[in-house]
Amino acid sequence: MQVTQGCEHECSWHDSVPTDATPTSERGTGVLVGIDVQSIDEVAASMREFGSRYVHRIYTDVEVEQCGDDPMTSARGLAARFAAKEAVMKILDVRDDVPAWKDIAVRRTASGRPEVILQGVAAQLARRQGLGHVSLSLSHTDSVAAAAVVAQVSGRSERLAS
Amino acid sequence: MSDVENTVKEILEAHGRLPVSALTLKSDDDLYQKGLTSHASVNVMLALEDSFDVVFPDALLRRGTFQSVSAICEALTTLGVGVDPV
Repeated sequence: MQVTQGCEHECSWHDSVPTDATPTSERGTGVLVGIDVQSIDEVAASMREFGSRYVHRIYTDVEVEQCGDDPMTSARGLAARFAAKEAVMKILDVRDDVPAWKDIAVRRTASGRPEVILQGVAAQLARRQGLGHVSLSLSHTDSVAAAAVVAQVSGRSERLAS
Repeated sequence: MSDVENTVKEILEAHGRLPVSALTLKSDDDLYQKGLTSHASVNVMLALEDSFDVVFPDALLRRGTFQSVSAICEALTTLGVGVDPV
């Protein structure tokens, strides 16, 4: 998919399928889709206003590094990553436990594809839901970055303690 | 209206990117229904930290914390804002 001027990558996946999960039919099988958009100008404005506090509160060191030093390029990349974090949030069954921003990260592989890295609470939620591969696609125009994720629900999820 | 609530509304006005004036909001108005986005809530959080000299821990960085002016004020109270030193 290419929106207009820039399709940063196509797709990739992060294998987070748990191997020790207790089977349950709570969510069944199928796919979940999350999508989000983010204004690049808003990210650039936040970078100007709050500087590294904004950047390092939301994005991992790898995300910051891979978005480069150029302000415009960096804002575009970070906006795409913010949209990716939000898109992933939409497929996680978030209740009392809320992932930190850095629990959901985007990493570009050596081949240039972006992949979703889940840590902490986000990884726990994914395991509980039986989420398998999470495929990610990022895109952008001059003003807006977009992210879409598709996750397989394996039908094997950890049973929540009651 | 408390000074804290006034300051919260001023910060929402400056950083919330709401389509309506934050100064006219009621304490319990749903900020997300009023147009607050997740990204704008980050800016609001950082501005609150600057204004009140506090740090929001990850545990407070949930949607409910920024649901309304009163919810934000409650979160600030848990961080010691407006609490007289013993």
